[in-house]
Amino acid sequence: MWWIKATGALLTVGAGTLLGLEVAARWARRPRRVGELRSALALLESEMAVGRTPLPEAAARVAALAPGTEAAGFFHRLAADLKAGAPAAAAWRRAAGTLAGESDRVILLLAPRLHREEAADLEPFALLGGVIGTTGLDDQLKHLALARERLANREREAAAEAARLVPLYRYAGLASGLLLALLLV
Amino acid sequence: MAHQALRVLSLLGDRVGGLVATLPGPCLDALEEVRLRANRPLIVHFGGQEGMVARRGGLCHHPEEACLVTPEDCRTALQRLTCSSLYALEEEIRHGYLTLPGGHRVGLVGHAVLDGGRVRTLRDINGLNLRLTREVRGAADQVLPHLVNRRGEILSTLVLSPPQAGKTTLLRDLCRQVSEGRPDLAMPGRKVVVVDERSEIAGCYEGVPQCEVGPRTDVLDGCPKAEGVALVLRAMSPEVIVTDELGRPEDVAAVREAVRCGVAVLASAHAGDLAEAERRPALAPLLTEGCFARTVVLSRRRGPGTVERVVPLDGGQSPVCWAVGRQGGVGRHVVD
Repeated sequence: MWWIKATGALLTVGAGTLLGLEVAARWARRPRRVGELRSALALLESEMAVGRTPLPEAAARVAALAPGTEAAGFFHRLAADLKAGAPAAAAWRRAAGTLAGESDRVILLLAPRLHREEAADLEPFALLGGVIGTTGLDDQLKHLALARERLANREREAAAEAARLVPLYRYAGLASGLLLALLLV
Repeated sequence: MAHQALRVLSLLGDRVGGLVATLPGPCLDALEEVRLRANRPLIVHFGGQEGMVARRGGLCHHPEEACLVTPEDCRTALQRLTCSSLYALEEEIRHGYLTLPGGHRVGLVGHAVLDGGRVRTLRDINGLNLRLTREVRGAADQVLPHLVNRRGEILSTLVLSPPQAGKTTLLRDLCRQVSEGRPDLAMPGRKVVVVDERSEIAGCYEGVPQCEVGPRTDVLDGCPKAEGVALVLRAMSPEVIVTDELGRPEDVAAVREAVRCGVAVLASAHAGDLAEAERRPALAPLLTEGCFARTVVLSRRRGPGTVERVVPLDGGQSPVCWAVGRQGGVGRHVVD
C-alpha cells in the first residue's frame, strides 16, 4: 500500500506546487495587464486627438494595434457593438465583461485578495464607459488622461506587489503541498 | 422615399424613430422635418403641413395626446446620430448641425459654450431638427432654359427665397443638369465645382456626395465659401461654381472674384424677393454690380419650390413669372 500513499503524496505536492505557481503567475501578470490597458487608452487618445476618428473606427484600430492582448479583445468587441448601433455606455459595459472573465473559483478561494485587486484594476477603465463619446474632445482627453494616470498608479502598485508576492506564492505552493502530504501520510 | 425615411428615423432612437415610423405612408413619403424638443410634443412636418405624433403612434392634433420627447430621447438620438463620437464632430456641432448619410441634416440647439464671444460648442442639447434631404430630379427643368444664353453658356444666377422654399433643391438639380449638359439647350456638360460649406447641396458623408450632382462635378465640402471659392479657382479650373446661402461680406468678395475670372456662379441667398435682397447690405453690391445675370425667386405659395419669378439683371429679357409650380411641375409662365 506504500505506493498508493507515495502516489497520493506526490500528487498532493504537485497540485500544491501548480496552484502556487498559477497564483504567482497571476500576480506577475497583473502589472502587464494593467500596462496593456493603459497603452490601449493612450492609442485611443491619439486616435481621438489626432485623427478625430469616430469611436467605432478608433476602437477597431486600437484592437488592430494591440494584437493578442486582453485590451484587443475588449476594443474588438466594443467596435462590433458600436457598429451595430449600440450606445457607447452599453457597448463599453458589455466589452468590459470580456476583461473580467478570467477569475476561476479555485483562484478566488486561494487568493481572494488577488481577485479583488484584479477587479479594482479595471475600475478606472470601466468608469470611462459613462463618459466615452458623449462630450467634446477636450473633455474626452481629460477623462482619458485621468484614467491613464489611475491605471499607471495601479500598475506601479501591482509591480511592487508582484515583486513581493510572486516568489512567496511559488514557494508557498510547494510548501503547502508538502505539509498537506505529510499530514495525510 | 418611405424606406429611406425609415432608415434615417432609426437614428433618432428606438422610441422616437419607432413612433414616427407609425405615421401613414403618404405622410412618411412627404416627410420634411422631425422636431425633437425636450419635454415638448414630438412634431413632424410633411408636405407643407405640421402634425404631432401621438403617444400610441400615428398623428394627433391635441398636445395632450401627443408623445412628449424626454431629455433622454434627445441624448439617445444624439448618441445614435454621432455614433457616440461627439468629440469627432465638434466643428459641425459648433455650427449647429450634423450631416448624415444620404445628405440629411440635423439641426441642434442647446446651451452655447462661448469662447471669446464666439460659440465654441453646444452642450445640454435639448432640441434636434431632422431635415430630410429631397432630391427632386427635374426641379430645374422649367428654370434652366432662362439661365442659358444663345451660345449654350450658363449665366450667373442668384436663387432667392425664404427658408424651406427649395433653394438648395433647385441649386442641386441645376448643378446636376449643368454638369450633365442639356443638348436641347445646346449646352454641353460643364466642369462644375460645388463649394458646399454646410454639406447641403451635395450632402457629402465621409467626403462622398450622397446626392446626384452630375458627372463633371467636384465637391469641396465643409469649406467656408470665401476660402473655398478662391481655392477652387486656383486648383480646379471650374466653368461653373455652385454655392449656397451667400450673406457675409467675404462671400460677396469671393463671388465677385469668380465672376471676374469668367466663371459662372450659381448661388442662393435668403430673401423673400428681389427688393428684399437689394436691401441686404451684403447682397446689394452683387446685384448692382452685375455679378449675376439672373435671379430666380422661389416661395412656398403653392408648396416648396414654387418658382415666382426669373428676373434678368443684365437688361436682356423681360422678367418671367411662373404663376404655378412646385419645382419640376409643369406650369404656365407669363411675361410681365
